[in-house]
Amino acid sequence: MGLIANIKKDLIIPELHATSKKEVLHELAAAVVKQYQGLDEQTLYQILLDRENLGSTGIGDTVALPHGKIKGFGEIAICFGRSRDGIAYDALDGKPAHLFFLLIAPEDTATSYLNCLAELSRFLKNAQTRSRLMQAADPNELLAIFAQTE
Amino acid sequence: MRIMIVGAGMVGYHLSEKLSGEGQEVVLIDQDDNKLRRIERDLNVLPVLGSGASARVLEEAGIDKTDLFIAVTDSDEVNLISCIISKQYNVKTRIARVRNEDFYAQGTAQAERALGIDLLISPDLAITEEIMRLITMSQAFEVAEFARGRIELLGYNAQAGQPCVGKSLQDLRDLQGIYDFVIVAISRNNKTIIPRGKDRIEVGDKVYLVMRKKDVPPVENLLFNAASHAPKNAFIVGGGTIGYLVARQMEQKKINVRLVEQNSKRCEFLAEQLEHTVVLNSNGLEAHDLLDEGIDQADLVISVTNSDTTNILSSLLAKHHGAKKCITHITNPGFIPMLGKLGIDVPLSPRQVAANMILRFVRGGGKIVNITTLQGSDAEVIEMKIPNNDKFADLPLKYLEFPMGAIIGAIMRGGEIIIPTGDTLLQPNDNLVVFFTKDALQAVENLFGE
Repeated sequence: MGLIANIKKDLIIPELHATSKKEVLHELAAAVVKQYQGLDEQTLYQILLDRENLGSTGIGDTVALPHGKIKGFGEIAICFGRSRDGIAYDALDGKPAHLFFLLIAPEDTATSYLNCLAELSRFLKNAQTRSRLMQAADPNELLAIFAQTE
Repeated sequence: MRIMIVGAGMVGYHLSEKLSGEGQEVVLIDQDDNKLRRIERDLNVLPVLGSGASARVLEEAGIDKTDLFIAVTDSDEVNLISCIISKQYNVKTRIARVRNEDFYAQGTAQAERALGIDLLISPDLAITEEIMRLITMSQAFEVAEFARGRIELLGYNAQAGQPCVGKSLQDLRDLQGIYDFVIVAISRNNKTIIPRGKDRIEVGDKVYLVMRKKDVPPVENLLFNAASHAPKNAFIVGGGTIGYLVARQMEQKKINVRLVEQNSKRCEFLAEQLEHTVVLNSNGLEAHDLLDEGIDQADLVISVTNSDTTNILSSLLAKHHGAKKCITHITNPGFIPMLGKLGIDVPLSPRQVAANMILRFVRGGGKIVNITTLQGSDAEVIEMKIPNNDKFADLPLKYLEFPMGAIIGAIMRGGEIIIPTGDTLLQPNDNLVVFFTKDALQAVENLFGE
């Protein structure tokens, strides 16, 4: 799939400023909007928030995967953010989330969207991967970890 | 357990088939010798000729040794009287089917108590409840609830272009954690399989999933690109008891209802009783009338006349003109297997709905808490408690030698609901929602036997 291996360096936020769920959604959405022309930050934020309202994407083990489909967007994009202090995210295990992957996809590429979510899920199920992501010192080290994925 | 069933009609037959198939001792009483002989040929039951309202016949049939008494003849009076007679004997549980609203409409519980009957079943009420459950899940053709409504088993028709089509079960399992669901079965060409990792979802499959109720919207959106919501515009064809009751309940849910009824006298009654429903005097097969009233814009068409033919044809007509979904009342069980191919979304058989209700009640006593038979499939779902036995403590599901043809859809532990993976650990006293094809029941019961 190579979704994670090909993450853009500009879409890696090693130190998130956000301290709340809403702030982190804003911060990730803003980063994506900067890189992709024609995306509206408020629309993207709302889509992510609507998805969270159906059920938190905080899947436990410090991980959150906010995601959504957006009309008129031409590709699949991911953005990674890390919060060393952790952010309360209504996660399944009730613990704060530290590692955030934002996934957005066009509204009509339903199939690959499903694959991308599965890829992220597989990647993050590995406890070693999670702890390496937490320990990486800078974007380059993070990038190296991502590049090693299949 | 010795079970006596009075009435060898469709419900009686279905119950005899289920219960005798599970190894229960079934005595079946009916006045029609031909019917009894036919059933005796097919099933392992003891037939007794005579009226269930006769104490002599009941005694001959061995009522004094009977644990469970079920009266399901066509006559309400016979059902009630035979239940009352059975009171003199040592019968533990009595169940009667009644059609006439007067017997149950007001204060059912009191009527049940006064008559010494444990469960009064009205097929019309049962169907109405089933329809109301189905309409909230507009995309699913089958809905069953467990854990007091917190767990749903839903059936969907896989259609071209939906995200899950072409995916293997393994692909979908990787989504666990983000989206919690278990695909418990796939029904393909009228055959139900419990899918394994390599099996893929194909167009035309009926896919059965178990999930938490609160997770239904996101999972439905992810897999089927769909969102269930209550219908805005509904058509009901047939203003009999079911049509009337459904219309009344839909009004309370603020759904726009158009009710089509052929009999003008009945229309007057309906128009008087129903506040917001538009009552149309037509026969459900007049395409012109229906189109004039906007059946092409309907989210849901419910065909509940007393004629299967009218129900099938009016559903097809509605679908042809663009109605999104139809629920079709079918009395003849022989029709059900072909209806999927014709494009009928949800066939609803009163026989099965009533029999289900009885089975659920009957089996409530033991380890099995709840059982549901799926429409148009030979699979069942049970809710059962696993025994307090150390061999189940901390056992990961993948090491449990689970019978072929069965799968665990959900685990209730205390107040918590777990959608399991292979790594989930079982605990004694867990309640399980288990899905199985009909051959596997015995094996499941053996596995969890004390």
